[in-house]
Amino acid sequence: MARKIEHIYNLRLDVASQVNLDKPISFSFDGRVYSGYEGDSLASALIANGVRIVGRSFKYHRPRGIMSAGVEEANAIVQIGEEPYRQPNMLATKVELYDGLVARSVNAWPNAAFDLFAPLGFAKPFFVAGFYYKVFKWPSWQFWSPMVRRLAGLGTVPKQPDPDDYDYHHAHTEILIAGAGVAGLLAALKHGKSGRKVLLVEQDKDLGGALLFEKCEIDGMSALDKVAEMEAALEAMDNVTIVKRATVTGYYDDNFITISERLRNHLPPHVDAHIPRERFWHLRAGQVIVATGAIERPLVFANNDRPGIMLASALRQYANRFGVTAGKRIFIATNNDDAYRTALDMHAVGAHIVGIADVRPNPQGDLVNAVRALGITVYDGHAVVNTSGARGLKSISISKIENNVLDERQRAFNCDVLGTSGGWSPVVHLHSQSGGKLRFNEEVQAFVPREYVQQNVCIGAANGVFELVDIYSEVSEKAARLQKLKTEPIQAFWDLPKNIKKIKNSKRWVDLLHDVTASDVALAARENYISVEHFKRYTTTGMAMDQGKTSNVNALAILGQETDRKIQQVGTTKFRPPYSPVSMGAMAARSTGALFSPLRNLPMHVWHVENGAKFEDYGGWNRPAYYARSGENEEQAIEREIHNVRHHVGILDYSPLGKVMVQGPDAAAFLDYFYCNNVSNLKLNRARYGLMLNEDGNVIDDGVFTRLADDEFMATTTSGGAARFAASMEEWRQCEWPHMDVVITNITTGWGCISLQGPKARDVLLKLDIDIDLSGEEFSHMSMRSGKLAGVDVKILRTSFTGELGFEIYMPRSYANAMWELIVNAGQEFKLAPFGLEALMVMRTEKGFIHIGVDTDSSTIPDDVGFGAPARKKVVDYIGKRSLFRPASLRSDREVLVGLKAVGDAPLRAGSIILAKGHKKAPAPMDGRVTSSYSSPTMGHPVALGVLKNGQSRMGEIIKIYDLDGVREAEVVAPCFYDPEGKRLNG
Amino acid sequence: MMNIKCPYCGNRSEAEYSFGGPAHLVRPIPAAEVSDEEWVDYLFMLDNVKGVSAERWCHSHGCGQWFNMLRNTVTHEILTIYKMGESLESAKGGENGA
Repeated sequence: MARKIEHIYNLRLDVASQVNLDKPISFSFDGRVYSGYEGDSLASALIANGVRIVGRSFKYHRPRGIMSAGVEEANAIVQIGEEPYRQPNMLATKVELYDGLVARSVNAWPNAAFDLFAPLGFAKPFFVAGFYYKVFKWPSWQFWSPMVRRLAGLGTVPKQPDPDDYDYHHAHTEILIAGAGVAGLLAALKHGKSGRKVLLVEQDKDLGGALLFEKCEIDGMSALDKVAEMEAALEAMDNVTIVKRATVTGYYDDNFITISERLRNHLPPHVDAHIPRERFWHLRAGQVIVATGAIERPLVFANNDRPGIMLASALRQYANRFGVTAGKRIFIATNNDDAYRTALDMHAVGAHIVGIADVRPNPQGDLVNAVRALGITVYDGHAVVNTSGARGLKSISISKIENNVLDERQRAFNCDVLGTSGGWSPVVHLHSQSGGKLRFNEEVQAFVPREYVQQNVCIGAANGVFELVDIYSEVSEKAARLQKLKTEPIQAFWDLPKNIKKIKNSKRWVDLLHDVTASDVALAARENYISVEHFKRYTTTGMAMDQGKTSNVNALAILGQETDRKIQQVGTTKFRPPYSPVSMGAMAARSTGALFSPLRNLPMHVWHVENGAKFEDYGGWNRPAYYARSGENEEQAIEREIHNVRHHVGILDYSPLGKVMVQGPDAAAFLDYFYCNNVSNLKLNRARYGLMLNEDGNVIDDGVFTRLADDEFMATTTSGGAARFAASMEEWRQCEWPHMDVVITNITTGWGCISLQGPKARDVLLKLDIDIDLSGEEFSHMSMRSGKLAGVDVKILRTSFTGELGFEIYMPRSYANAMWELIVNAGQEFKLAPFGLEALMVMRTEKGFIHIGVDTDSSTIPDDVGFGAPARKKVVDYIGKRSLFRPASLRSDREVLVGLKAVGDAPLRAGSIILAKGHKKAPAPMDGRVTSSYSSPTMGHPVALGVLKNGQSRMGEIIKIYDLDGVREAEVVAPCFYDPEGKRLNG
Repeated sequence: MMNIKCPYCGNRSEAEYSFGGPAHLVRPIPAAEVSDEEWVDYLFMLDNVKGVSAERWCHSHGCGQWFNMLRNTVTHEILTIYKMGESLESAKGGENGA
């Protein structure tokens, strides 16, 4: 990585600052090693080292330099760190320097200083507003998309998993204060003293906001000392919590707030690795005080994107806070007083102020006159019109403006830095997110909060109150000793007059990050994209990762000029969260990997592990798919398990089966609403298979319901559907039939279930101490008995999903594992072996038993799976009944369940399409599809289920099935392949 | 994320609740006497209200109870919350307002 330490320039100033000159540290940018100091931001260190080009623009790959000192940065986007810690799309202005930091520019190749894509700048005509919809039409966007994405990249995400931890934090506070500038600090002191619980959140590492770099005196002390005094007072209050390096990113309903806190981004990756890298807060606040300050706007003129052109306030921020300057010869362009502070401060640190172009005719504020008194020339009534310098600013030219007409004569000045100020935009993002309205304040030429709809208030610069003395009188209970300045009002100035053709056709950047120019805005207006939301999307203004922090207001004003509207008539787009980017890791927090969607383990989980189970996620349960024995592959294991069930006996952990108890005098009548089969006439201790429908008449679940008493039923559901089914019953009970006396209890996870399947199932149970008569005469198929098995109270349901003799043994979950082991031991002499879900799926398919959600979909009605007759005959009302009499439900050509016997040895592919009659190849209309398909070791040929139009009347027909590999043939047969008479399960 | 006052538990975050569609929807019965049009109206022709909407909600991750809510779908303002079975009119005069 390292080549040599570069010392081309030294732009470090010999002034007091907040970097620690005793702690030099080294870092690299685009592969070169540089030095900086503790306390530097990456941006201040790059500036000190004379690195002017830090990135390439999004579309044209024009060289770009650092343009701000804060969260509004639109050019200096970098990626930090190396695999697997790399973080793409970080702002160099907000990255705190640490020893060994590795940074790279993101939109350039091989690097920002020498970018092979730079010639794209000449392709400007192809990248105009709406170019996505205009240029890449032929042959198709899909053809161009990969190339465009590569060129307009914003960093590379790491390929390896993120080794860092991230956390959630759920919190409440009475008062949240977003921003710890002077307004936020004063508010925190005021509310802190009231004893209420206050949370003060600051995005920077230090409190103070603009006081960190403004040269002013408060109460006779320096701004920094004043901040320290206020911080100490707040620290002494137990009810005040201060969180630094945290950004309030979102403001949602009822004062629900998200905060992105960066705990470890300022440290090398391996330091304090036990601490989460970031923490994402979910906060509910009683009141929100928005003290988020304001962001300076750049001015719009020709070639206003060159490295060296910066926001005026950023210049003094770098000088006063970090002790660096971006250059030695500085020109300033402004339409307001604030930029004169930069002139004063930069003059004080020894930079040469070449001149100031002020569009105002004859400004007379105190700051202006203080600058004049230093002998600095103020070109009033002038604007910067153009700049030069291919790899960084070399000179600028200015012209006089009168009555919105630009003088053709220009004056040129050599300078390496141009500070521009077009006024200040209050950071109203959080206010707007909260639903609050904005109005355009002509006095300060900015959008300010108008109407609050939640418990919140904006104060200080976020409220359009910019001067320190005014903020004190707005927020503080007691006045401070402060200098009061006479000010000259700002003059609106959004774009250069267009009376000179060369200027009119020039590249005047509005959105630096998304490369949108004033002519793109004009083009969008000509093409009638004048609604602000349409305009935004068409030009992509404000849609980049900075969300238009510096560009939106300029773009709206220029759109207004182009369409003869005032800026307030144009309006703003809705500000949406997040205010600044939040990493995906922080949002995911601990919900990654195994914790993303935690699986539930079975009562016998450890036994399954110890006995070679291969697990799969089945509806949120971690269940054995099969049990592998040594030397077996998956297919062989499944085949062995099936053979064992068919000839001996298998044991299955069936605990996830949905189990719902329905009790009460109205239990039978209530359950009748939930099945398309009759419930009330079910005899005691008998069980019945039933289908549950929704109101659309569609089959949503199935299961077996058993009458345990006159007023007590147990209903089973699919394992994935248990919670949904119980909740649905509860909804109907509370909302539709509150008069019914019934209690619904979901006992799915409370009860374990062991399923014994196979001809020897009865013999195994008889080996144990059991007080239930298991004989076929006494205990027939589809009935239930309660009793004691090995001393445990159990309920045994005689039923089968395999087609063999089967018993399901229900007991409290805590007994299930011990019972399992007893049964396994007792079954040894009968060759009992466990089987998994895959074997079960093959066996139920051989038997023609449907699997809800596999053989059914959201259009399946009872008729389609052979239950049409009982459903229609059922007299009493039930959910979905009326829908079964709609014309669509009564059609004779519905797709119904059939068995499919493939021609050939290979099983059909589930999901493949049945071609309409008479068609031999795809594409063709379809008559249905294959829903379940397996090799059947029992039958010796592949078995499949499917749905087929008019299936019932097409038995014996050979149909064509389109598969990815071609067209297969299959014979339509009855769904049940194995033991159609049911002798085995009734045995 | 809204803050919703369950009539049984008090203020809880929206994350604890489930939305259950329009309140006071009348289920036409008996099936044999309901026309296709009536049934389609009940199933599909729901008012997609922009503004004040009567809805039913369940405190599904709390007490599990269903209740009704009068809510502005534009501003998310909750005007009143009332128990299942109570009419909208009686709720408006009642004291369960959020």
